[in-house]
Amino acid sequence: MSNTENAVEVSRLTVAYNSKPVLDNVDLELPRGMLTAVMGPNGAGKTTLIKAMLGLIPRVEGQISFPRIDGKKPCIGYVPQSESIDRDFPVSVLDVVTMGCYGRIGWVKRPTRDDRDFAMAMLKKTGMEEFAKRQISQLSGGQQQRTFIARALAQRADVYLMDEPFKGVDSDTEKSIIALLKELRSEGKTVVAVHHDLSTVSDYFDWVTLINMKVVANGEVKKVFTDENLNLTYRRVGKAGAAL
Amino acid sequence: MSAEIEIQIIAVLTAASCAIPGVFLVLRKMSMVSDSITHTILLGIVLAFFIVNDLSSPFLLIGAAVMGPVTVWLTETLTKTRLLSEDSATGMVFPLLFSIAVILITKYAGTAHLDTDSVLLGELAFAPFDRLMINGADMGAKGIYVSGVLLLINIVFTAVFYKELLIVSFDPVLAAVMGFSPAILHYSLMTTASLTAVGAFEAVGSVLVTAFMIAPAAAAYLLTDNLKKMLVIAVGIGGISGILGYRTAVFFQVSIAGSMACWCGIFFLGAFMYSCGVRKINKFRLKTKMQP
Repeated sequence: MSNTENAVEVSRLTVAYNSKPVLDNVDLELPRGMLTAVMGPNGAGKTTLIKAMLGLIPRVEGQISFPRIDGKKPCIGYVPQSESIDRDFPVSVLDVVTMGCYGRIGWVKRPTRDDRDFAMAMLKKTGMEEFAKRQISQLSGGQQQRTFIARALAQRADVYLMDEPFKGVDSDTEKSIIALLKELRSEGKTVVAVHHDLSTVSDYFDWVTLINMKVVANGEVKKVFTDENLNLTYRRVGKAGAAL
Repeated sequence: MSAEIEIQIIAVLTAASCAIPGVFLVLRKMSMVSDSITHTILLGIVLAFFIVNDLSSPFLLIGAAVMGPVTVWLTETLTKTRLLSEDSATGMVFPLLFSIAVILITKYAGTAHLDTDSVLLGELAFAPFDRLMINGADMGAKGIYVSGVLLLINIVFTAVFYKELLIVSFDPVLAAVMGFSPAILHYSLMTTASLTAVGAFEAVGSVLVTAFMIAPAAAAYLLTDNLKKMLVIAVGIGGISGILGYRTAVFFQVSIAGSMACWCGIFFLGAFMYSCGVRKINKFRLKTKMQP
């Protein structure tokens, strides 16, 4: 059943916290080489979906697979939600970006000069090279996000999962991040990002997944990003809220 | 070698080796875990003692090293039920295990040289009496070797797994995605912390080990933005506190472990005031810069 044109395939995924379902029987196929937005109201299970794809949370049921690319297992990259990071941790910007190379380096071996040079090149790409030596708490929200995007680039992943990459960033940073994501797309990479801003979806993304515990719609932005689907996605929580 | 110098060497090695796992405990916001572990390893020691009936057997170390991760595991399992918070779980698990150990000691081990006072407070002053004899030759105080080996274990563990410890402490999610299992590293760290605590515990007792693990690391955290420097500064503060603590104790005729812990506290206070000062100066600079 595996389709080689898909980057991620999710079938019958159910995740529950304390026997309360967060994702209920989710079936999803996300295409390769596209920018996909995962959207839905608060508590719809967007972050849970990303974490489940990363294999970080126990599932009640279901399968998640990343089809092979040219016979090779795809490498998965990840950009965390900015508030999940300890800003006071004693690491420099360059240290953080070099972490992107750790997966390739493997256990015990140390990052080489080449790894650090590569990390530096990724910082240049995100316009952050002058901040390489700074400790991360001395950065603005936008600069921090650029750092984590640079780290994701350093991972040289095939599929990138990003949890709200535009949260807390200024509009300049947002523009430069989306430019980088589009560059990744032109290299054939896949980006799946949790997104909130309804007004920018059509400009930024090719594909959209609307979820609210279940998948409401999944398809090309042009086709499924309709008022009807949005009402279905966002209104449902209103009803549940009223019931509470 | 004179007894005085031997005591100081043990003090420095012990304090320095405590500071290393301490750095990671502070960064992972798990400082109180060290308090928990240093108490429950006693149960590991007592249980191992009942099995081998020899107080100088290395099995005691193994018993203790196993009990540390067990404590952490029990605490996490309780927390995961979501019926009580993590701090309550810690507060439940370690007094329970510790009290079992205390009861076992008072009930069954009364005749053996395993009494609650020496366990709680340690006695560095007697350390030189415990000699390492090889073929009848005196190789020096046994404590020097024990604390030296522990320092070595900590240095080697941190040097070999530096990259892994860094990424797991900073971003466990990315670490997991890249295949660096946070659980394996977490429990390895807990095991080395427990081993260190056992060694330290003979010298300074279980109550003060926490001070040697946390205070130097917390002070170093305030003084630098660089993890490698933080490790070096923490070890330095620990070591210097060892020597100063001994000198102070001799001068005032007070407990050696107590004055060593006091010096750790004094260094932390110094670092705290320094970083408050730096912050004020930075604010002032920012203000004057912003004025036209």
